[in-house]
Amino acid sequence: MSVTDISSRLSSLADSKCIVSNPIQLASYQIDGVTPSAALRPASVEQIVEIVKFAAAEKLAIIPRGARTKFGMIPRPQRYDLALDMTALDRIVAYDPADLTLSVESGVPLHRLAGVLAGHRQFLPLQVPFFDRATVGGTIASGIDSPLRQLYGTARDFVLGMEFVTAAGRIAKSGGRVVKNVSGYDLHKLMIGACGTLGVISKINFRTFPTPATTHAFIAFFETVNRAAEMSRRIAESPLRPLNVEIVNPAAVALLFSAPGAQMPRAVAGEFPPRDQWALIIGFSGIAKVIDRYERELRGMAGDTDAISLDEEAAPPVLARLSEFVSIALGAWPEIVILKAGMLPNQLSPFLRNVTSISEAASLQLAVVARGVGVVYFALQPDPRSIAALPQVIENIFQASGQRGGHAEIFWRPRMLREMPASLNPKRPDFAQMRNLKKTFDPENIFAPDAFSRWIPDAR
Amino acid sequence: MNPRLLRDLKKLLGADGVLSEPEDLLLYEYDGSVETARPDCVVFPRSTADVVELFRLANRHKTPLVGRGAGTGLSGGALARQGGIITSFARMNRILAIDIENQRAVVQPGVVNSDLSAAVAHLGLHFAPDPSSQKACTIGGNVSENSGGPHTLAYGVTTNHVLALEAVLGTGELVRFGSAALDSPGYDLTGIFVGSEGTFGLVTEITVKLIRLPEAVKTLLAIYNSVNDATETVAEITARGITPSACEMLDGWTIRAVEEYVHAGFPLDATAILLIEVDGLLEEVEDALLHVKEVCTMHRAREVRVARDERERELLWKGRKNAFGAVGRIAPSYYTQDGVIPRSKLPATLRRVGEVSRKYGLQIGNVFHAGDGNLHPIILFDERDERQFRDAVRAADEIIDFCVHVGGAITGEHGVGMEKDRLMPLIFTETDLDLMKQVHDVFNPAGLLNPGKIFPTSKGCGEIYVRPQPQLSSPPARA
Amino acid sequence: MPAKTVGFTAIDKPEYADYARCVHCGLCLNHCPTYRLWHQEADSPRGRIRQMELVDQGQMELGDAFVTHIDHCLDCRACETACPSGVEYGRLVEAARAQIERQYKRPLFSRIARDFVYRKLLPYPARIAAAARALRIYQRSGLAAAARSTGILKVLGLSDRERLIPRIDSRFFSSEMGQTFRAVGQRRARVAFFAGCVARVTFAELNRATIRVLQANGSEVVVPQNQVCCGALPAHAGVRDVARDLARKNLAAFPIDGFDAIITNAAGCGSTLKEYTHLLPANGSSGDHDRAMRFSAKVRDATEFLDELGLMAPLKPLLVRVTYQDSCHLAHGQKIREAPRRLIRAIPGIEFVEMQQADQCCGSAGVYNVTETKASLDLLALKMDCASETHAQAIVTANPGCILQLRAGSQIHGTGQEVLHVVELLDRAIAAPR
Repeated sequence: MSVTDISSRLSSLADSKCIVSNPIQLASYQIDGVTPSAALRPASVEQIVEIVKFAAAEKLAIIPRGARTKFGMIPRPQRYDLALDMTALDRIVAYDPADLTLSVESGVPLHRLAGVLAGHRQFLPLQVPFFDRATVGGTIASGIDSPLRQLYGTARDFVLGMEFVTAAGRIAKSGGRVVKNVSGYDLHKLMIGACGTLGVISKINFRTFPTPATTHAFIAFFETVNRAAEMSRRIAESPLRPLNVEIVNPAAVALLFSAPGAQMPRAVAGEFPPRDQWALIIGFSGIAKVIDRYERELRGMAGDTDAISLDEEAAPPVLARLSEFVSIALGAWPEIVILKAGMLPNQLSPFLRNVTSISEAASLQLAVVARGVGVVYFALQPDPRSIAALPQVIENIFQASGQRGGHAEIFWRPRMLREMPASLNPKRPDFAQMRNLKKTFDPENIFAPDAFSRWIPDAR
Repeated sequence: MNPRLLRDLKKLLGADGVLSEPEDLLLYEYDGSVETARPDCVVFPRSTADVVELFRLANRHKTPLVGRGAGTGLSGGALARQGGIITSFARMNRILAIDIENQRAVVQPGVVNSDLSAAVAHLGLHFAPDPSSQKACTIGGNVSENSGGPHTLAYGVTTNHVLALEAVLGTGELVRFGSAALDSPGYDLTGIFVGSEGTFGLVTEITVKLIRLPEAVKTLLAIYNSVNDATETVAEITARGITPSACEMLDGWTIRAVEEYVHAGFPLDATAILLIEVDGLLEEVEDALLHVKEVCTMHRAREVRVARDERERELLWKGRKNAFGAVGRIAPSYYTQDGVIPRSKLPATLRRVGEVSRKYGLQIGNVFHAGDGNLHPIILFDERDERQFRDAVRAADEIIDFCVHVGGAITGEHGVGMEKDRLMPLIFTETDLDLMKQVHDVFNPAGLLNPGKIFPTSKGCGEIYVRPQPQLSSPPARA
Repeated sequence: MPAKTVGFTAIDKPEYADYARCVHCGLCLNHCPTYRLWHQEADSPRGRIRQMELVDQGQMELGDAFVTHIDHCLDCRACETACPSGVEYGRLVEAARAQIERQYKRPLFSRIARDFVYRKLLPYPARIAAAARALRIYQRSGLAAAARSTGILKVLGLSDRERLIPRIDSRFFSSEMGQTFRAVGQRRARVAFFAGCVARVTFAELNRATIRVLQANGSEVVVPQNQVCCGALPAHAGVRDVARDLARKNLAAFPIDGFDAIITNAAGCGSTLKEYTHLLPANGSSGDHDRAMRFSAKVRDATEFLDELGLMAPLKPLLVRVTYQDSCHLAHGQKIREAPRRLIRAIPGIEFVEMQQADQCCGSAGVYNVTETKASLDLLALKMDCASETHAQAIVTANPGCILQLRAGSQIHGTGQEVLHVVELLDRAIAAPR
């Protein structure tokens, strides 16, 4: 079917207001230069149903989009007929502060939602990259995590239920709007992080959290990753329950805090030591006595190394920068690949040393933010000379993670790597179930067909 | 039962690994619920390999397989509703590994919940989900039912603590979902599996998180003359940004029943009590306790007691943990319900429970996790009276119906099982259920695993267990 | 079809009101030693109660299977501690055993043995003494050594069982019967001492130590002459008529009004003595029941009594690391856990270490170690694992049966741990250094 065909067919079935036909506007839905035949911006779940039914009948590939911040997470699409722009579904459906529950449409921007919740001194622990632009739906569908997971967990721990449109064009739901619920299968757990491959998320129910008292932070600098990891381990063994614990390598420290655009509070900017020191960044909150306790204990653990304490004024911007690591790295180094690894905490240090030497050997710049719970983001910046080595480096890192009992995936691929073998992920025994689930939810493979190959090499 | 299958099972598991005599099967037709169903055979695998082979044999004879831990479940999850083989995991009860540094444990499904916590207590760690049956229930059962407990308000339920599992699916495949390291790439298969009530697979190994025990714990009892005051207290505690690690409520009638039995020091004329626990750093806990006490007093608690030591704390909890038994002493039978509501709807729901109680003339006690809106009305009845028994089931249905009406759900932690399958349409549409069924079929295409659960079938309440009547020689009158 | 035994007969049977309290929640399972061994419902408290129910309503035969599972029960009553609904399991299982005793025909050898032990031996102190003298000859004459060295016991599969047989005392606890022992210092209490039956020939020294400790703490101790076996063993075995007879004899032997308490150092006896009302229920002879109520109200375990009274005797340091094994009938039967621990801790120099699963049965359970030797030894092995983990030099407990079992455990598993009663430890602290 041609672009004009699609447009005319669509206009007959959907509210014309929701069709983006202007070519300039349409171009903004491009992924890696691939422009969809049409973009639709439905304003209701019923319109989504119509669109999906149409797409299913015509076997058109739909990619749901929120604020279009995370195209880099999926390979260059081979099929991309319809962009489904969810940003018009932006209502807060229900918010009951006393029940700590919230139901929102997926197109609601995170920052707007945060404002509403802040009015009741509540929040969602989704301090994710692209926070100022991203939508709730995109954040959940991408499964992207945040430093706050140290204390609050990830979306799977606080999404209570969901409504979504199936490939058959039906509105389905699972879970509910109560904080404790074991009625039926948790289908919404599958939708989290599925990158839109199983259905179009239209509504998400959350458990909200009371906003913690003033947030402070502590940053200790170390010559080696070992010592940073050692302190992270000691925190885990202490009774402290910090908001976040992140190990940051020297390049990432520079990128986050000394880059021209960083706009760090003077107290911080002035105190950051010269490059080539690893930083351990810990955020925590509580009443004055609790803050004192954290600072005392953290100082004790840091020993004689350089360390700074950040008060309630200085800490939030620093922690916000930290949570934006992915977006900051992308802004600073346009052609990078970002890998994500899951690692047991006690393997973090040797693994990070491994990866550092792998990338040094290939003359790649490497920026690392490693969460103390064992989740690592690597930004690798090749230069024209080292680019050829990139695939091999990625493979080596994958191997290193596997050898240490962890796993890795390509989190963000640069344009030049979009065409590279979709995934290097080792085969896993659960691929069969993933495939079957995909087939069950989306038998015609219309939902983000290429995104599935993020995980399974031969899925396309 | 097919004699060839039985012979093969005995060959696989040994004579002491298979029960098939009627007098043994009679002891596997119940669990902790009011449901009943008799299996054709009970088997006791000792290894993952046994389970794989077991499935192969059952599959060859198209015989259903139902997993069972300790049989403490409250929705009939471990009962062979359509007959077949009950797979008891009681003998697969080894803790396979404890990784202190990474705070993980790998266990077989038959490990008892509190045994794991006891095994790591000296390391300052514990397994956080704490269902009331934690001293008997198994972690395999917790995984199947996604069990909760009083402390899930702050610590989450089972699914929040399971990182990976090994299971034999209804396709016969032995799979591993998730990993000890976080964020295994791909769909969250662990997430969908936990809470699937044994309908996806037989779990053979589980990797869980261990959580550090808090430095300080304070438990407080607040006594009220009005349920509204108690619920307002809960709301205000939230508004102040405090998340208690537990927040339990008992109503007046239940308080009296409990006090007579356990002597926890509950005043007999109270209308409601709150049992609130806060934990964390010493400084944090002291501050939170001050706030909580202030809020309780502000909302007209007539008395606030703080447990001074571990012994007093245990006594307060004993009152809560023995509430069901205490109430159960009053009538020959009781039916514990499990509904969940937005907690601001507690006063309205309690009023409704009162109306239902009057309508059917059945006493109903109320015990609930007030912090997360999970209520457990305890409906008292005499099983020897057929009408009372049916009314108890009707009363329960009406309460659940109301929970749904105010935006809640049909079960907060007991599971759907064979108890609430018929109530599923109250919250799920045909589309929802169809999709769930399709997902079911991905894991369990032939429906051999725990058939007859979760999805609505036509069922009267005739299947519910009624205690057999004593013979005429022993008159049923109670002393 | 052969006639099957169905249902229970009228008296001494599990009552509906008692078993209906069980809501089959299963909380007892993991507390039951036999469930923990075999992991079958049939050998769990919940399963046994259901079996009683099924027999009561005629759905299950009172036959081999039922008897086997009821026999397997240790009657340790750990399930009662775990039960949230207050089911009195001990009472139920003892009633079930009474039904078995009445309705079920055991194999000939078992019948002869049971008849001899419960009816011909235990009720008669003189016969116990005579049997003990014969056994003493075996143990002392070299016969025992010969039997061990020839390996004949192993061939007969008796080697472990033989270790469980108590060593007969050189001097029986007989001259003390009918005597009064004065309090040291000011008299704070006057108590009657319950001397036991087999204990008089196997634990005479423990009895003497108990009297010494009571005296040292200001108690005048009287040992009533005509007392007999408490009836625990026959009651647990379902031989209710004998147990009831013995209870009546003891009610007559103890003029309770003159005493502040009736003291026993055997937790198993204590829990039966405290439950004489179960043997002599209100619907029987009302005089018996009332007497039983008043009698039971005065019964105290030695540790319970000493803890209530407060230790007064000066204690000398004992530099020893000890652990404590809860005797089931003290912890579960009488709900006494803290008193013995407090007494142990009161001794200066003692290093007290808790063992894991301290309140799980050691496998002794009256005659269980003889009738169900395999299970008993399996439980003992688990117990000794926990005990040796503590690296304690001595295991302290509160019941002669447990002491025998644990001593055998210490030998079989070569842990080298001494096994003592709480009062023996106190006695040493009072007496030491000699």
